[in-house]
Amino acid sequence: MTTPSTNAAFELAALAWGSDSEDPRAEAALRRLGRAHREEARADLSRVHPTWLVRAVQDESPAVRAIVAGLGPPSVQAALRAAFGAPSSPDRRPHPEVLEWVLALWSERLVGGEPERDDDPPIIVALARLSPLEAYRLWHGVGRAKRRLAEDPGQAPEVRAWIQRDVETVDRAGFGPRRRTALLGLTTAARLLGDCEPFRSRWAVQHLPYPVVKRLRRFTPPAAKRSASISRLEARILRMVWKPLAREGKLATPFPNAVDREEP
Amino acid sequence: MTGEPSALDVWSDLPRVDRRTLALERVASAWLGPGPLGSLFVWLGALPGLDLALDRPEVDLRAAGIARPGLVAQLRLPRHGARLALGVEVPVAHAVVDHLLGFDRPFAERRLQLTPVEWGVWTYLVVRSLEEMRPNPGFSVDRVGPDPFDASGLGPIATIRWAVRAGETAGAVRLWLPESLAEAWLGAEPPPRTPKPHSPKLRELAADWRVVAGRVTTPRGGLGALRPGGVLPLTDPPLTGEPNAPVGPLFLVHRTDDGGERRIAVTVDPGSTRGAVVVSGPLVHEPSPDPGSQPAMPSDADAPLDAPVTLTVELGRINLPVSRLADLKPGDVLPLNRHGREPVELTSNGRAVARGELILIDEELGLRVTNVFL
Repeated sequence: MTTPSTNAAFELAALAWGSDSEDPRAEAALRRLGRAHREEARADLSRVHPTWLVRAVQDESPAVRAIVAGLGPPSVQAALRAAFGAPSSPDRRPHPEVLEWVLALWSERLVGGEPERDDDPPIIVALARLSPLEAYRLWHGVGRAKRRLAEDPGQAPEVRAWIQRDVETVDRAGFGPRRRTALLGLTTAARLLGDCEPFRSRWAVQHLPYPVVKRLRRFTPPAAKRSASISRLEARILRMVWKPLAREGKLATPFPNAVDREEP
Repeated sequence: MTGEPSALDVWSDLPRVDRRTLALERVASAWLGPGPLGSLFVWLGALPGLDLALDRPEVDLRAAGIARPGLVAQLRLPRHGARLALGVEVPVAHAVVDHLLGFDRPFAERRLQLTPVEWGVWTYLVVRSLEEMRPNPGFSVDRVGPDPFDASGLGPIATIRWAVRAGETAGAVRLWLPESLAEAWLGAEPPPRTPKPHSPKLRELAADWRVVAGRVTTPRGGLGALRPGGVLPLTDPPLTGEPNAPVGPLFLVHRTDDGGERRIAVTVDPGSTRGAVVVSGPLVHEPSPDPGSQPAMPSDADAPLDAPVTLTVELGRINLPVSRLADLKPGDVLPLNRHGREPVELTSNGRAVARGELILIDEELGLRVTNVFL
């Protein structure tokens, strides 16, 4: 299913409440809006990386943390116990209303979204559907490809220059060579995410560890500095690496076909 | 005595409420009654399943809560060249869409971020709400989304906050507006006057008298062409003198129920620092023209916005009780409800359509429009 964008949702709302109530299109529009709202309105905590849950309560008081770790959703409890240790049990159960508010407050950074959308671009699929090992293989492969491009004398000087800037950026991060190469691949992810619909981007990055996302944000170019030709080139690099990895069985998810058709 | 706080120190921490704050709160409270926002709430209340209740407004003369996450509708008021924004807290924004789409949201998920579907639905609600406002103040929508209101370049910002209950969800809605716009609204919408319970015979006399300083004709394009900053010459009749002491035919005018007018010739009292006029002639009654003797003309208020319209320039108003009117004689000084330096009003059939200031054009007076209320 494809969830409507903001503009499409506006048009559906105009149909649902702005037209004659007996118009069959009004009822269909309302049904579609309702279905899309149900898909987007809930955050599936099993798809949110535990580090996001830890981040959500790390600035809260020990009492609040203890309540969420002891009485929150099971997946949240596990993540918080792993990060902060077993909570000291409160001497009495919190007031129900306070408990409701505490359990509501911590989730304000999270977004909901349906697990699979037909129109998801490859970068969203890569972040949301690949396992951690598959993701490492993909981004390491992309990083290796970019290093080769940076040294390829057949490439245009401008292309080599911007890849070289990415290489220098990740080399300054101070990791070992393998992690640096994977990080270089993530610069491609950052650039491609900048071209996606922001809400879906936010949903997708919730699958990654929070510290990685913080690093990723540093690589995301501001809107004024985005270039369509560089985005196209990054998309081709991703496809060029993804397809052989999928053929070799190193990635269980094939390259999304919908985008394949759009590419020349 | 050293080290003891003086009396002034003790009392200096008392909370203070600014007069402008109170005035703006009164204006915002009046919005919930009949008027533009009243028609908006009638429309919102008619949406299926939506149970919306607003508490009385609170005014804060600073940009309060402008960085809070939520839904922000950034609006533009081209006539005033102003931008303003409406902020809806996340739980309330969720609750409204949930009600409309029949979604039962668990309490623990009431603070999740807003979704594109919700932005789309809210964009529709905002656009339709503005269309439903009668009279339409001329708002246009810049954007609806999660980004905070960009108030750069707008000067000091005031915040009007309403506590809102949507179904069982409580939260707040905020309106952020430049203080300059708030000032204009304060001037444009004085609190409604409660009419005194006079007998029908007395009501006609113990009513508002307008000090009329002549008429101006709107430029090509009619009322729709009125713009702040535009200059209109006073033509019927022309006035001379200084802007704070115009010289020429001025009248106290009261329109009677039968369509006629009562007039008293007056002059501006040059010695008064507050606005005042001096009676210079007797009370004259001009009966209404015979309806059969003249072709029926549409009133200015009913004319289309692009038709040329003759507007009356009012220097101020006076409420004259019957006893005062009976004793009135030439030389009596009558204080106006307007200070000599305050703007004058342009009216059509007694309704204010614009405000302006008198200016000197060569040797005659004209009027520079400062606010347009259409």
